[in-house]
Amino acid sequence: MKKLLSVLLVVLMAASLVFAGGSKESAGPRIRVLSMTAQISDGILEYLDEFEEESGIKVDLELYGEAELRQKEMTEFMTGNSTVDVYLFSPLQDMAAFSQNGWIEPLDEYLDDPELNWDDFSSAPPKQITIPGTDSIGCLPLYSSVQLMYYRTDVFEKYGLEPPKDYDELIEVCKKINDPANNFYAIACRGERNALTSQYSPFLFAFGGSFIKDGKSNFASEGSYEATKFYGELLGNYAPPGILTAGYSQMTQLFNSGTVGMVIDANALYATLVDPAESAYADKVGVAAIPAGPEGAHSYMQVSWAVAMYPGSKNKEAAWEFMKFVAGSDVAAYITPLGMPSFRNSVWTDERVESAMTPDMVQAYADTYAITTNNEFGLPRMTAVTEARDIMGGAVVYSIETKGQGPELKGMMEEAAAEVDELLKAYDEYGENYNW
Amino acid sequence: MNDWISDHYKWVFVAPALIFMVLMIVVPIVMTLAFSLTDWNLLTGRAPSFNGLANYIEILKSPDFWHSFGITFYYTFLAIAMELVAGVLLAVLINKDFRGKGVVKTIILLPYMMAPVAVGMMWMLFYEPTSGFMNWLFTTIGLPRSGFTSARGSVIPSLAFVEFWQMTPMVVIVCMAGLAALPEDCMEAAVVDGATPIQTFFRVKLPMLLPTIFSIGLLRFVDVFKSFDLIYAMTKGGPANASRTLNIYAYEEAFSYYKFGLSSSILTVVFIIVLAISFATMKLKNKVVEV
Repeated sequence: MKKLLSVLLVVLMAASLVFAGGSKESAGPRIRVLSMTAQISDGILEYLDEFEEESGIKVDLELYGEAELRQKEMTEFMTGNSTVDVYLFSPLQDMAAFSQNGWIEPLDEYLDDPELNWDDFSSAPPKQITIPGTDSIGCLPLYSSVQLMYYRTDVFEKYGLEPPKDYDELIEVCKKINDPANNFYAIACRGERNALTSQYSPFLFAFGGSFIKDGKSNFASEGSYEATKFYGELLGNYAPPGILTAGYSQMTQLFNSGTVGMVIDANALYATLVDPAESAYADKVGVAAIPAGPEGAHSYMQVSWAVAMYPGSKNKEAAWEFMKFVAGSDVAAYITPLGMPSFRNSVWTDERVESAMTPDMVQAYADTYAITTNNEFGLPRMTAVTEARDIMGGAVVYSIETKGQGPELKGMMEEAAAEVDELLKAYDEYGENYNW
Repeated sequence: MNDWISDHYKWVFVAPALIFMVLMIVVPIVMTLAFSLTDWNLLTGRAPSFNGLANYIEILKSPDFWHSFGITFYYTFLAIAMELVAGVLLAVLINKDFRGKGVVKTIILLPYMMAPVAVGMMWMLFYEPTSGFMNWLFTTIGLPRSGFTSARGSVIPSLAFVEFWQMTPMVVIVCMAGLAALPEDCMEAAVVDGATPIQTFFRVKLPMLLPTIFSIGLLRFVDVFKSFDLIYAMTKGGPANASRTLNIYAYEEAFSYYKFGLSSSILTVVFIIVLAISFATMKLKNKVVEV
């Protein structure tokens, strides 16, 4: 027995020595950060050592896929004793729920910090980063998402085409380059029920429609109906057959495999399209602002991802230092050329950015930022946003399936509008109570 | 202390497993049941409050629930039917001694060893309607092209086929074990009486194998009915809601719409369905085997 005990003791001591060796204790504060596996984290990692050295703060950076990150944050915050200090999130999607549950620290008192230079973020849409029902800023915006049109320069040259400026031209181009017999399709836009809503929103607004008007669903309006019909015709006739399950990543696959001639989707796509390791057509990518509909061009301008502080953080000062670093000019200059434009105005005059971007991309951004739109969010503004997206997305999917000719479309859209109204009522946001 | 252990030693041995079971199985089930009786919704920001059977009434009235209910059964029965037929046949075929039997068995087992999400990703490439392998195969043998997972009509059969492809090996293993345990003398008697191999299979082997088929059928039912990973990896319940099974529906209500109370009630209903069908299958098995 004694022998056994001594052996156990030795094993335990050895184990404690081995595992203690793994976590080198630093003298400074230590913070835990949840982020996602994307270019933004590559940017953070690029400068992280420098940050740790200069600030003396040790950062435990945990990376998850986008969906896993949301799930991780929700389940961990729900327990009420999370040890997270700083986290990345999508304010459009989660600001309402997260702030309702007290998971977002108001940042007002930190914004005066001269090192941050908050004035530099003047292009960030304020509504998207403000905690609902208050005037407090809840997060630092990291990068924006706008919609752009990518096209194959070689195909356009072959047919002597210019990037379409309006929907009539868009259909003309589609007719000319569509060649299903040779497995080549004119265009790809998202067709997956939930993922499509943001990319469909510019079409919706371009026909004078919108998700919500005067606190009520506007999905059954004439403009919304025309837009849904057009989106269905466009994708039903000129997109590849698998389009109904196509979300963000399939857009890249379809363009990079040479299956489609055009893609209308988020700017974040750009980096993968022009990466020679990812695409055989990397040097044949043209980019332009999206074409305009009868009521103009209406790209969204979303705060795609932002960084927030967890109110339960025990190291708020260190957490703030890290947040400043993530929203700082180094990371901004790293992610902007990769199709994730920072909200910092100064980034466009940063040498690192100027030398890394093609003129047509800079022009496309400039054209897109120049437009005025009510479609800033690209999503229905309401608490139950995901559910509303699914409901409306269902009708859009039907329109694509029936090439915009489905006899039930009008009825389905009316039904969807009624369901969205019910959701607005359920969260006390209907009619004059609408406060978004 | 020693006396106490000697008096209760059987409980001492059982205790660790019992505590583990209670913590890992009973507690989550009871918690889900408790949540299902509340209006817990993260979006309201209010603390959950007891709302009786309101969630159950809501889901039973919801066409979405019944749509998912139907899809789940369609998917389950399609997958299980294919798995059982192919599994039993394959087991009977490779139960004989032949050269290379080991290699054949290993090849048949390969899909079973893969992770469902990896299998899903692989099959999504095969099913890709424009450049995927399956449409190439279809057109080569003269069949019309299909949308597979991207068309409402074909999504469930396409998913069930992947489930079948991956999990049939499990049926094969169990059926082979069942076949090995069958008494040889019955088969020999049938041969002496002049029965053809087909007659022997249907009249002798299959009836004797029935208890095994029931058991593996039940195991597969429970497994397929609650299938999540494969479907989520491949279609996330789409296109539109065409492959949204009950489990995906519950996941969506919780993690997309934040309605944890409602989601718990869906899961409780799934639990009750699985329990009821398992119970009925066991009863049926006893009846059939007795006859």
